[in-house]
Parts: sequence; C-alpha cells; structure tokens
Amino acid sequence: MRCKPIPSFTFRVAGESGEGVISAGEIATLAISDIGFNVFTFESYPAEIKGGHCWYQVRASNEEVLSAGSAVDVLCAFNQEGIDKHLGTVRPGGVLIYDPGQVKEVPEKPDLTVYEIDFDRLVKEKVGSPKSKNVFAVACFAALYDLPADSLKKTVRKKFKGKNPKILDKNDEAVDAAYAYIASIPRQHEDTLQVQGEDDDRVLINGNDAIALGALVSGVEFFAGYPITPASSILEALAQEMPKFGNTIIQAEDEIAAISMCVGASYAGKKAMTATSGPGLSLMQEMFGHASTLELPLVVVDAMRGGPSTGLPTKPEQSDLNQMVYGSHGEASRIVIAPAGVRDCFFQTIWAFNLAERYQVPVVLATDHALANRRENLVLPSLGETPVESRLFASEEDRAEDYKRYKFTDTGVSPQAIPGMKGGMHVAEGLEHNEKGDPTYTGENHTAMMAKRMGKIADAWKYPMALEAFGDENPDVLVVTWGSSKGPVKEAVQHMVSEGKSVGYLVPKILNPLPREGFLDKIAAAKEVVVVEMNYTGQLEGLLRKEHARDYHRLNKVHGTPVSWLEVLEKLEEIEAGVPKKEVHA
Amino acid sequence: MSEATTTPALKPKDYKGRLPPVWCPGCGDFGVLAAMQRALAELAIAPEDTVFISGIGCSSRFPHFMNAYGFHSCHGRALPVAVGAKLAQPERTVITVGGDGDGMAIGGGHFLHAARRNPDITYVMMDNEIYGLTKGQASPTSELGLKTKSTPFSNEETSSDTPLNPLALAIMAGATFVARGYSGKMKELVELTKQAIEHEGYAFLQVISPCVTFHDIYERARAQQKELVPEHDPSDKVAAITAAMGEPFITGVFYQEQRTTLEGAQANLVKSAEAGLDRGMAATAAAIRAEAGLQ
Repeated sequence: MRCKPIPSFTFRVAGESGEGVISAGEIATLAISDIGFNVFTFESYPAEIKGGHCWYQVRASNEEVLSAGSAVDVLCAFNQEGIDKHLGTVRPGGVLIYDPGQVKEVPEKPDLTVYEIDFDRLVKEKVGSPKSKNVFAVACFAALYDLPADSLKKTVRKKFKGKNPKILDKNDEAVDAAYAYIASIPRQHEDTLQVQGEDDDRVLINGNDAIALGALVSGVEFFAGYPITPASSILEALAQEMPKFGNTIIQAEDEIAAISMCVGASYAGKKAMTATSGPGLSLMQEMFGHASTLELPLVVVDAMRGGPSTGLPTKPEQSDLNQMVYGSHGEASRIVIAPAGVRDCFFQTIWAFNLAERYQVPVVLATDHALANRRENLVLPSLGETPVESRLFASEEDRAEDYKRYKFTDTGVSPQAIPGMKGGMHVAEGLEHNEKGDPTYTGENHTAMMAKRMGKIADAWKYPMALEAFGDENPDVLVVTWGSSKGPVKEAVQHMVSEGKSVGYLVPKILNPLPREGFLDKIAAAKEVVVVEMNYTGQLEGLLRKEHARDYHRLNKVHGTPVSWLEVLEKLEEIEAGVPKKEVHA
Repeated sequence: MSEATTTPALKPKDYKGRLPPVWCPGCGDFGVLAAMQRALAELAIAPEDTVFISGIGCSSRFPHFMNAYGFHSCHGRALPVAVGAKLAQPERTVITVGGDGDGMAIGGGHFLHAARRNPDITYVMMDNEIYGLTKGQASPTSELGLKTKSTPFSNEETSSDTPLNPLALAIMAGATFVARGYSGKMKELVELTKQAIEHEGYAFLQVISPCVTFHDIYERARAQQKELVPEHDPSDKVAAITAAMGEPFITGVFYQEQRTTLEGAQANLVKSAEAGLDRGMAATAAAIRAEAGLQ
C-alpha cells in the first residue's frame, strides 16, 4: 500500500443475524475501550429481524479514530458468509479466526494467519451454555491479543449488568474456558494489544445516545416520536430518562401526530423534540412549515438512511439535505444543523435547542445511520462556555395592553405568551397573519412577515461551534464535507498535510443558513474545492453553488457504506495531479 | 405559569372574540359558538386558562371568535396538537373544535388514537356532512349516494361510500364521554357542552350543525331530532354503541366512564421514575447541568 493509515487496530466479527454477532462486537469494543484505547465502531445489519448477514467492527487507536479505516487486522467469522464477504478486507499479515464447524472452505490468501476454533463445540463442552458463544469468541480474541482475563470479565459483567447472576457466572466460565483453550494452542502471530491504563472515566456511547444526552442537558421538556430505523433508540433512551426529570414523552400514532404534539407543547411553552428518519421527515413537512409560520421552537432529528422510499433502512446516506433545507410548501424559515461526530452530537444538540429557542424557529438536527449507531468512548463532556438558552416569553409589560404575538422587532423575534398568561391571548395562526395573529391577506403584510421570519435567522451561523476547520488555512485544495463524512475526510487530509501538501477542510455544522465568514468566503478564495458527501446529486454542492457559483469537484457515494478515507485520498491526489473536473460516483 | 386563579362572575360576552364570525347567516356553528360561550361562563373558567385548538374548515375558524388562547393548526391535526398542549399544561382547559372532514377524513387516524389515550380534553365536532370551506364536496359523514360537486353522479348504485359513524367510533376507540347535540337546541347543547368540559377524560361531542349553503339538512334535523330515551344507561357500552348506530338525530349523553387520563398516567409515571434520577443517562445529564450551574 502506498500510504499509511493512522496506527490503529481493527477487529471485525461477522456472521448470521441473531447469533450474537452484534453483541460480540459490542463486548470487544467495550473490552478494548476499557483498557484505554480510543474506539470507533461500525455495524451493518439487515433490515429483517432474524436472519441475514451482519457484521460489526471496532477500530482502536491511541490517537483520535476518525473513520472505520480501510483494512481489518483480525476477522472473526462465525460462518462461511463471514469469510466470503470479509476475507478480502483483512490486511496482509492479518488474522482470521473461524469456526470450522460452520465453514466449508477458506479461500487461499497469502500472508494470512489462521486460527481454527470450534466455538460451538467448545462452548457446549466446556461451558455447557450455547448462548455464551459470543462471550467465548470475544474471549478467544482477547486471549490471543493478551488482554487480561480479569479485565475482560469485568467488562462482560458491565455489559450484562442486571442480568440473571447465573448468566453472569456462565460468562465468567466462558472467559476462563477461552483463555485456557488459547493457552493450549500454539501462537502464530506477533501483535498484541497492550493495556494503556484502566479507563473508567470514559463512557462508550453512540450518536443517538449523545443526542439524547444533549437533549436532557438542554432541558428537553417534551418528546413525541414514532419508531423508525435508525432513530428509534433516541425515543427509547428518552422514554427511559425523561420521566425521571418529571417530563413528558409519548409514542405517537405516526410522525404527523408526533410533530403535531411537539408543536402543541411548544405553543404551551415547552422545549420540544422529535426524532425520525427521512420517511418520517417527509410526513412531517406540512407541520414543520406550520411551526415555522407560527414561530415556534422545535428540534427535529433526522437520522438519515438510504433513500428514496423505504430505500436502505439500515444503511447510511446523506441524501435528505434538500428536504431538510427546502422541504415543506411555501418558503418556511428553518435552521439545519449537522453534527460530525459522536461528541459533536452532544454539543450540536444543545445548539439546536439554543437556536430554536433563540430564534423561535424549527431546527433540523441531521445525522445518519453510521453516526447514529457508531460508538465512541468519550470523556464525559462538560458544557464549559456552551450556554443553555431559553426563549423570550412575553413579560407582564409586553402583555399590559394590545399584546402582539408576531410583533415586528429589531431582531425579528417576538415575545411569546403562553396559555395562562393574562393579556397574552392570541391565536397561533397558520394563515398569513398580522402582528396580532389575525388572518391578513394583504400583499404588504405578507412581504413584511416573510422578511421577519427569514431575516431573524440570517445570523444563526454565528455560534461558536458552527464551523470546523483543519489543515492549511488557505489551501490549494479545500475539501468541504458535512456530518459523518468528516472522519474519513480528516484522515485523508491529515495524511496529505503530513506529506507537506497544501490541503485543508471545512465542515459547516450549520447547513442553513450557511456560515459566511470563514466558510463561503474561503470557498470563493480557494483554488480548488471538492465536496464530499454520501448522496448521488451533490446536495451540499448544490447549496454552495447557489451561494457561490464556481467549479466544484465532487466525491459522491451512494453505496450504503460511509466514504472511506482512501477514496477521499485518491480524489485529492487526482485533483492535485490536475485531472479535469468530473463527477465521481465512488 | 398561571396568573389567573379566581375570576369575578363571567358572562358569555366575556368569551366573545375580537373578530366577527365569518360564517354564512344561518350556519349551525353560530349555535355551537353561543353554547360554548354560555357553558364557559357558567363553569367560570377564565378565558386565559382556556385553549381552543382547531384544524382547517369553516368550523375551524372558531378559535378567532372566542376570547381565549387559540391555535388554528393544519388540516386534520387539531387533536395531536391539543394532546401536546394539554400534556404541556395539564392545568388548562383544552377544547378541540372542527368539522367532520377535518376530524373523520384527513384526521381520521388521530380521531381513534386521541380517544384511546384519554387525555382530559374536549373535542366538539361540528358535523354538517359536507365540505363547506371548499364549497361543497362529499365528506366522510355524507349519506350514501349523496350528490355533491365532487360526486356529481352519486346515487345508491354508483357510490359505495357508507358514512362513518363518529359516535360509535369514538365509543369503540375508548372515549370516556360521548355525546351528541344539535345546534338548533341551545339549552341542551349548553348542558352537553358543560358536561363534556367537566368530564375528566376525553370527551367527544358531536354537534349536528347544518350547512345552509351546500347541504341544508335543517328540515331533516328538525323533523327527526329527539332525545335519548330516559332509561338509556350511559355506563352500558353495548347499549351506547347500539344507540349510536340507531337513528342519526338522537341527542344526549350516549356513553360515560371514568378511567385514568393521559395526564394522570404521565404523572404516575413521573412519580415512579423519579427514584431513578441517580442512575443511567439522567444521572449523567443532571451532573453536567449541575456542573454548569443549571437547575
């Protein structure tokens, strides 16, 4: 290979959905995290509930792990398909662990170290509990890479906390049996995973968890949702946690009801949120525009998946940007925010609430399947300089006489009265309305109200975490990307910079309105600009083109998997070499 | 955030909105509006503690004609908006108003789910068996074979759209108070409106409210309307459904029961969950908030 990835270690487990593949991956992740590594996970599972191929991988490093990487160090295959589909990704010198009872044939592969471990038979014989296969398999891997057995037992107990004590004991037995077995066979590889230190301060969370946590820290008071992959775990987490704060969560009959309930709660003064995916966001469009016209704060999470239609429900894609920015009839003002990592999900959620409250406007918080599910181990965040804001309610003075819910003000934001407040009575009106909220159809009024609603968010991009920049400040090649595609872009840019190339990237966390200073001005000034995103038509590139007409290079991928850092690198090298601009669909 | 607890004697005119009704002269909705203003005055619920939430349609303009908080939402979405507002402020009197198209066609899904959740809200459906605001198309409660602008060739052979029965549906779906009134019978309508508002739980009040312009059923309503027989037992669900499926212009309380409300269930849930504030993600969130000096 002509380039070097960051020093890292990748473990992948693959097999049939329903036989503990995902949970084996989770245990391995937790175990590696618990001995002090940074981790970055990726999982792939079918849209069916039982059966079908699934896999889970964790990439670990002492440095920040930016992407799923490009090669696997250790593959653990539970069945033939696990080998057929993944052996090609194992790096030269890598390791394959497989269950010969489930595998007929291992293709020839040079420079491959192979461990045949009969998981099913050994678990039955030595532990007497076929359900412990996932623990046993992970323990075999852990033993091969010198993780201390005690540390692994602690990890497994943590993972299955609250389960029947008999199961916990069986898991301990499975760990002991695996270590004893590995000690009895000859070691064929050199690599090891050295303990970096005990690390109990960090929590292993995924993007959806980070959003739920951010919402709780923001003081979310009302949540209504409808189950949909990959957003459901936000609903589930908040169903567990919000009642503890005395707040309300409800599972609605559909997405339309979910957003309607949120709009009703926001009208009554509550910080409200819903979470969905593309199909749900489509259903919410009418009510989203309604909230915008009513100037009601609201946060709508769109954890994107492959579309259109039912599409690829369990695969990542960044193809909802247009509907997030433009969806709904008429022209409805809104803010769109896209976190670029798990930690960022936490902070951008707080900003989503802050901006919703500050500007009295609905905010879409965009993630995707990869970010929603991927786990990173984080030191618990501290708010630091990040504020938690609340909306402007109508004071007694505002309501003393002739209260106007949609009053024209310098900021475009009008103090909101809520039911119970004397003198604040008004109708939240979806018809075009005057300052008082009365239906008004004059052209002058409509022009003024449109300007009010659009104008108030014009500076929304001026918040401290709106933009992330890296690399050369005025680079020859500027990479622009958004959301979860940041990781692989950063890895590629880091590599180019380390080779002395003039490359940099900009990741706007707010996609509507787009940042002007430090972003659109840089795009105007850059020699070459390439936009990397997981969609077919170049949706961010389209938004950029509208703001600043110029030639853009594009790297678009609609493959159900994230952009890889090598694909980005290849594109950057191509641009550097002066290959004419063209649309590339990786 | 309530600032209103006691209010001096209120009169129906205290509930009159700033804007004059935009309904056709003779529209049944005038009667519903007058009955509502009288009912609220008699119940002495302060205007600022009252919220009217509607969808789209002639009758959905109702909030503007009341002196109260109002919400003129999207077509069919009044009920989920009302559920959200009620959960946000359980201490308010939340009244959903709208028509048969809004409630039974585009909002048909919400009609069932609002009923089964039993929020303590009142839903007054002004049923005129036609789409009035869009000027005369068939509605889900239009009688079979009704000729309208959207069903110009309709008759009993060329149409298969049997009308929905809002009362029976509401009872089956779990509504805990189900009644029917008639806009032309003021005294009874005031009483039914008061009972619906006072009922603790989801109260559905269908009001026969004829459209004089596109589907005038006054004659039929006047001729056929009568009250439920005195021996009707509103706690008997089967009897209530049987009565609901009977003659269309019978008025009165068809069904009433008491069961846990949505807000009550939420309050119970909160009480049982509070103990867990030291565990899980809530504990983490509370620690981050405390560190930042947030309450």
